[in-house]
Amino acid sequence: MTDNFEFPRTPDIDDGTQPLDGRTLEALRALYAPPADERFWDITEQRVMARVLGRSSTEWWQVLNGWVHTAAVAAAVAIIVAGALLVTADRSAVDPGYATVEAIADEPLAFSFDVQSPSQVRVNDSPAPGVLPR
Amino acid sequence: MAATLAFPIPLSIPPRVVDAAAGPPAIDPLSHERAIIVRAQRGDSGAFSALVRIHQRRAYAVARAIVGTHEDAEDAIQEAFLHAYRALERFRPDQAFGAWLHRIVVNASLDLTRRRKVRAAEELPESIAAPFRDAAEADDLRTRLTEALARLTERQRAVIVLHDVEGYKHAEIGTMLNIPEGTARSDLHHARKMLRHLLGDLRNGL
Repeated sequence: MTDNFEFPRTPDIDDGTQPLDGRTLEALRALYAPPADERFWDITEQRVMARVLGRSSTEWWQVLNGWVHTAAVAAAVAIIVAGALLVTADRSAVDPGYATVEAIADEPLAFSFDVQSPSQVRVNDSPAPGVLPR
Repeated sequence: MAATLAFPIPLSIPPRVVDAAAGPPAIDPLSHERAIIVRAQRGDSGAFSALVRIHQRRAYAVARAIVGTHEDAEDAIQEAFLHAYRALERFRPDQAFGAWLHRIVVNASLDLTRRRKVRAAEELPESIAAPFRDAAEADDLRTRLTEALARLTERQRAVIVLHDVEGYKHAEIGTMLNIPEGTARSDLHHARKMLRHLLGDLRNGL
């Protein structure tokens, strides 16, 4: 019996659920209406694309910027290596003896040392008979 | 009669069945837009330009609802499209491009509003964002409406414009403005009540 009971709505209470009246709504729509002129949209599109493409070229350089650190390190290493080679070449050219020394240093030795075992060293280093050890 | 699928259908829309005898299938706007987006993601600036052309009016409406003035809306959409271009590679094809773009537009508009506020606080403390620069050009209702809108909070103004002018649903507005749907609904009710209250004598005299 009370299933269909509803509280009566008082018309003077505005809870905001009712839409705006037609005139106000029309004025609101007119106030926020987007420009009707097609040229405005063409220009807006052009401006957006000009900024986008301008940005795009910057980004292309920014991609290279990421390699700057690596490239700087590689360049520094290359300069050091090149400098070392240059100094070596200069010394060879100016001092012929240096080249000779280098050539000799590269040759195998004409003699060899016999490495004694520790036991042999002890025997050889022992004092002669009759000599008091220290 | 044999029915064939026109093309690979995105999961979000029901399969389209076309009559083979009825000629070539009509172009699905969603698939068409997706194709443009993919081209734009691959760096085709012409494709991005097409996206701007498709979405700029709606983007303007969203921006205008937040920033209030035509000039600021213009600036906001330019910023927004620039952000969108930079973020395009992060856009997932399963998203709705319009909704994704509108979030960017909202953020750009809010950024602009914040910057304008700082500038206004430094230069003209009493200035308010009025949609019309020259009130003399507007009729009485327009002028009063402008003044009444300026009395609303930014969010209430954005909500009432997005809902009553642009026709967005509460859930969509909530997603766009990053507020709960219930808050969007309550903002709308407060905004309408306030406008009715402020324009009461004018409306009664109509």
